[in-house]
Amino acid sequence: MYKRRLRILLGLICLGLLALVVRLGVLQIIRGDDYRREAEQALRSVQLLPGERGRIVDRNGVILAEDQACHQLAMDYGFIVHSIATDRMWAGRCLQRYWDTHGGRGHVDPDTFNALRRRVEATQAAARRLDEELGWCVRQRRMLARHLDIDIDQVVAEFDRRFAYSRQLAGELAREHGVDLDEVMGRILRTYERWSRHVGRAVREQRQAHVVVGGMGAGSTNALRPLLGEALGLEIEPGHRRHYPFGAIACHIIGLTTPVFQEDAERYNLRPDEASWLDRMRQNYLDGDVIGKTGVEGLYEAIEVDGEWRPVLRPQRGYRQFARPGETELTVPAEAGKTVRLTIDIELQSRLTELLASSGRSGSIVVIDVESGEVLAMVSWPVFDLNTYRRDRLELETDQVNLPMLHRAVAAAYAPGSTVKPLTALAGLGAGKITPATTFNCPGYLYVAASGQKRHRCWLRSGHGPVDLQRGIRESCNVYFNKIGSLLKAPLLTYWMGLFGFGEQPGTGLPGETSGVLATEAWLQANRMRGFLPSDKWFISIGQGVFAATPLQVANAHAAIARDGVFVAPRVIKDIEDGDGRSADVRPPEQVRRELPIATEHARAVREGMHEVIHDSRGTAYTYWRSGLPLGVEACGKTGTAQVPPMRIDSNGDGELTVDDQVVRQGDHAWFAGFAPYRQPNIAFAVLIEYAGSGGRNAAPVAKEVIRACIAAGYLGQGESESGRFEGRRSQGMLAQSYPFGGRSLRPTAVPVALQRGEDGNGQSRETPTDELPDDGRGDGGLAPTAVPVAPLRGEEGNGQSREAPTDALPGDGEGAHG
Amino acid sequence: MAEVRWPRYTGIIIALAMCALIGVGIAAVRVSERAEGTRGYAAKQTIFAGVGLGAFAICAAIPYPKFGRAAYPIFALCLGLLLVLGVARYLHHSSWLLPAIRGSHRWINLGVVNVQPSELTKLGYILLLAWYLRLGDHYRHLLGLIPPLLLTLIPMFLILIEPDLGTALLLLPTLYVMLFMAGAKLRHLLGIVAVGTVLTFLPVPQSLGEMGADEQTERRANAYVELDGTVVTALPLAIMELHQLSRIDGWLHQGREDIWQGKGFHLRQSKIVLGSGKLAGSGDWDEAEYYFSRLPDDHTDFIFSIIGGQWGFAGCLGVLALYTLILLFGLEIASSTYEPFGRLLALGLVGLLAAQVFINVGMTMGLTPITGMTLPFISYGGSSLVVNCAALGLLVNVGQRRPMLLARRPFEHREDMRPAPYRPLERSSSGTACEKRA
Repeated sequence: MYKRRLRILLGLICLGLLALVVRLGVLQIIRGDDYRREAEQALRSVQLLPGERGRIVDRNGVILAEDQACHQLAMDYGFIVHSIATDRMWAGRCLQRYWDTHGGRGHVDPDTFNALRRRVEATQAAARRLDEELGWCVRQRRMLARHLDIDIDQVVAEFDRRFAYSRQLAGELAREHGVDLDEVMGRILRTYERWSRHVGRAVREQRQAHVVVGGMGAGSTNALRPLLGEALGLEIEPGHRRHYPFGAIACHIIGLTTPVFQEDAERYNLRPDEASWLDRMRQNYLDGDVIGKTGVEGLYEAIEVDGEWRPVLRPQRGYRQFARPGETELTVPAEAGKTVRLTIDIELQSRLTELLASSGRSGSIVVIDVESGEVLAMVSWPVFDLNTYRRDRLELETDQVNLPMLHRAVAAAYAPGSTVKPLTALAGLGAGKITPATTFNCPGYLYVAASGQKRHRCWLRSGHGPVDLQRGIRESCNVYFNKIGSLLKAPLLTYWMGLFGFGEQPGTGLPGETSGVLATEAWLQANRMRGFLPSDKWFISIGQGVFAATPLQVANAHAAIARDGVFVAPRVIKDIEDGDGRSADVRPPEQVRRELPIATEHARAVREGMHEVIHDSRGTAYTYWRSGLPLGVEACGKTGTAQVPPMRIDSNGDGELTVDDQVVRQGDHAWFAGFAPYRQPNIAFAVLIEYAGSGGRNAAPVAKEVIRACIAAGYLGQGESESGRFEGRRSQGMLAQSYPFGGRSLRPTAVPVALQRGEDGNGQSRETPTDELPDDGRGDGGLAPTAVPVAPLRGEEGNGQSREAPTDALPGDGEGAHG
Repeated sequence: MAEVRWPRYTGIIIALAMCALIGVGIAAVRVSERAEGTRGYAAKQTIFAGVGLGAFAICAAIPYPKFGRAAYPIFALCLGLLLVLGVARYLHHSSWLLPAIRGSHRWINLGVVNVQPSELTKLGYILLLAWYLRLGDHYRHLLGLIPPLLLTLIPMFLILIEPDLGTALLLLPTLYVMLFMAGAKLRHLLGIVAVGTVLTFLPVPQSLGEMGADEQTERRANAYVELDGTVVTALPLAIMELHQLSRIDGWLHQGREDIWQGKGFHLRQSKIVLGSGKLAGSGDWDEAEYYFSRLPDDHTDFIFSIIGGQWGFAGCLGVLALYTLILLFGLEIASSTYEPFGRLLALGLVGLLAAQVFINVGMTMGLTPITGMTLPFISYGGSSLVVNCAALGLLVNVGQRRPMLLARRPFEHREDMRPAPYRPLERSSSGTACEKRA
């Protein structure tokens, strides 16, 4: 009995041991490889290889933007967690900064403040909760113990010392490069905490290093390396920095890159449940990456093809995978971004920038290749230096007067003034309302109101007398075009203007591109809460009133005249190439091209008139064009002097622009648009100089130099480039100094408000046809004498500046171009 | 009184196997020490091993009946210490003398070392039970099983409230081995097991009212049914703490990947470390050590995983073989000892060791749920090592002294004896008829 039970016990023990051995065999021999693989997988390290952002080149292949090698400082996630979790000062600093930015202005909201405090505390608590902090500390201590061969108690002290040192070092580096380290670290922590919550476990990003300071030059890196010897959890990684060889030239077209914002990352990045870790690391924006924001950098960051985003300028990271340290298992090279070739000729662009700079006023020049519709140059002055933008950011962004960040050529709409008169004529001809021989009498005004006042006066008070098409264009007779407007009526007139590209986006796709304003019945109802007024057709026919266009639209409309009535949408992107020169699979969008219903002889008649503007002694630009060096080429053009309300800034800080605010600019916008050469046009151009006064006196000489520059660059088929190969960097230095912010030439002109108001008021009350349109003044506050219209056109784009043409509220003097 | 042949070969082999296991333990602690970047554990373990060998020698040298006579005072001392800890726990008292570590009141600080009374209790309990069961056959009646059960449940309860579930549960298999070998009726034992099982699955309603959200989820997941605001769960699950529940959950669903990162993380890491050792271990695989650092508690409860990872299947087999050696020779001692106290003592010690090895090793590979229990002789920890050495000392002690027996063989109960088969005119070579029929 006892022996039997002993045997049973023995059997039970052996059974237990056997179970252990069998289980052991299953785990170690049968599935051992799987477990080994899993362990190796967990230990496998991956080094990410940064890719180069694509280059932007001009039409001749000159590099406008490229990536240069630099270094960046990366910080272990554990480091971040440890410093935030243990940093008692961190919360204090967060709240202090909040107080500085919000509370200091006197309207701190206690609820918001408490919410922020809770968030700060939650972040700290989350950081403290994370195992990774402990794991990181343990790993670092183990490494220290191995390297220094010291005892466990000493290791802890040494770890604390080195951690404090590293924290200080990172803080100094961040300060040096203008990075708010607390903010960056808090952001990283919150982001991956959220990811971690989203997937319900720790994400791999929580074991990685994250870039906290980017764009460090070789100098600071070399100085840093010896200091890093004692640091924990910090490393210097290779990275890239965007470099713009031409600095300020074509800055608005090229555009800006900024460090990636959290909202960008949230918008574009793949989440852990959408892609594998490696895919995410390759394709996502990581901290310290740059993203294109404006201009071509923003436009061709990535483009959407068939519903999916294909990177263009944006690079894809590669990676090198290590099975164990030093043993490369797999290398996937980084994919550089594609090269975007612009239609811009940087040489011409540079010359024109200098030209506009020498005028001393803000403005814009656009030059379009007539045949292809390619934009050869598109200048907006003032400019800023792309390379130093980050340093000058505050000054640039807060310059309310000069608005250096505004891309005037495509993003600002101005009253086009008389530059649209040839188009009005073409509309009349094309609609069959007039013939080239049709003659209207200009008595110096359009009609006499019941009160006896002469309404819609011509700029020549004495009147032009009988005016036919050529004379109308040549001498810019307002009454002639008003009468064409009367014949066409407003809807048909605006329809024709629409055919020339007004009121629609030109289609370059540049961020901020505006369609301008072209009134239609629907637009007026939606934005002005009224229908067409009788005066609209008269205003629109001479490029005023409910009519605003960008310089690019004006230049392109004139290009349509030069093509004898063929409209081609302008483009700034020539093509997109892969790194090795092949044309990439992503293409810029197709150009819109439409044949306008205009007879060639009508277009030629208008062209004759535009030729006489310059080359007939009675032309509005004749005297100004004749002065200076002869050009050697005959051109066609049209002056424009657009009447606009003065530009004001919100000087009393009440958040809206009223007549009480300070006037910083006033006068008429000077326009000159046209094409050259006269018989076989190669280029079309538009010159706009803001608040410069007469278009003939101020814009035409600039336009002449524009043509001269185009001849020199070889775009008129006659001249060769005078200076041979262009040296961009040389002129860059000059330009960098020629735009002094707030300098004399661009200083706001203070105009006494009372005087300003008096003039405007008098002019308006004298000219507004109130008797004929009794509801006009009430229905449209803009016509009331004291309320100088300040509602900006670009207000729709949220810019809030009062520097735009008035819409339907015009100081009724009609046209003021001087012959 | 005792017939002493010194040294007997069983004792020597057990002692050698024990020393080998302690050596393996120190080596494994060193591996985990390198992996974790900590220092001093292996050195301390070596000192403990010295103390343990001393305890082994003392326990082997003093004639074991003296321990038997001291069984009641020793057990009373153990209960007293446990009671002190229990009171400390009840009062949430934590001081230098009675530190609360990770919420558990298991230790008494004696200045140089923390002593675990529960480890000592295991030994005292076996001594007492062997002393109690050595005479008579009252445990062959159902009512006679009540005193030994009570003697088990009292220390179990005290250990359970420390809380130290692993050690508490260890007393049950020990009790069963001893009762079984002492000759308790199988139907009684199985009946108690059946009642226990029924009790285990007994549905108990539990109100969710005052629980936190986490706890509610956890309780719901393990419930039989849920009626509004009340869950009905198995009795032990209703009593268990939250972390114990989640461990059970992680063990039951160890194949599910979503469990690996949370509840099943510990077990998964253990299996990866163990499995990645493969046949011969990861001797040439440099990162193994680095991976070991991802296994929590790797120098105490999960030391077997480190052994598996470092020395592979061969190493594990070797360690298990050493345990088997000790267990086999322990059984040999039990079978060849006729003195009842010595026999029961040896059986209890063997049962305790076997249960510990099975539960701990099984836990590292997912055979048994994770309970905080050390692997004898190998896990880092002074109390465990010294007590286990002392236990083996007692075992060897029994093996060395085989008192003359002037009575019937112990635990050969008359009712169990079947009448001898009729063997006409056969001359028996040796032994008595009783012995032959056994």
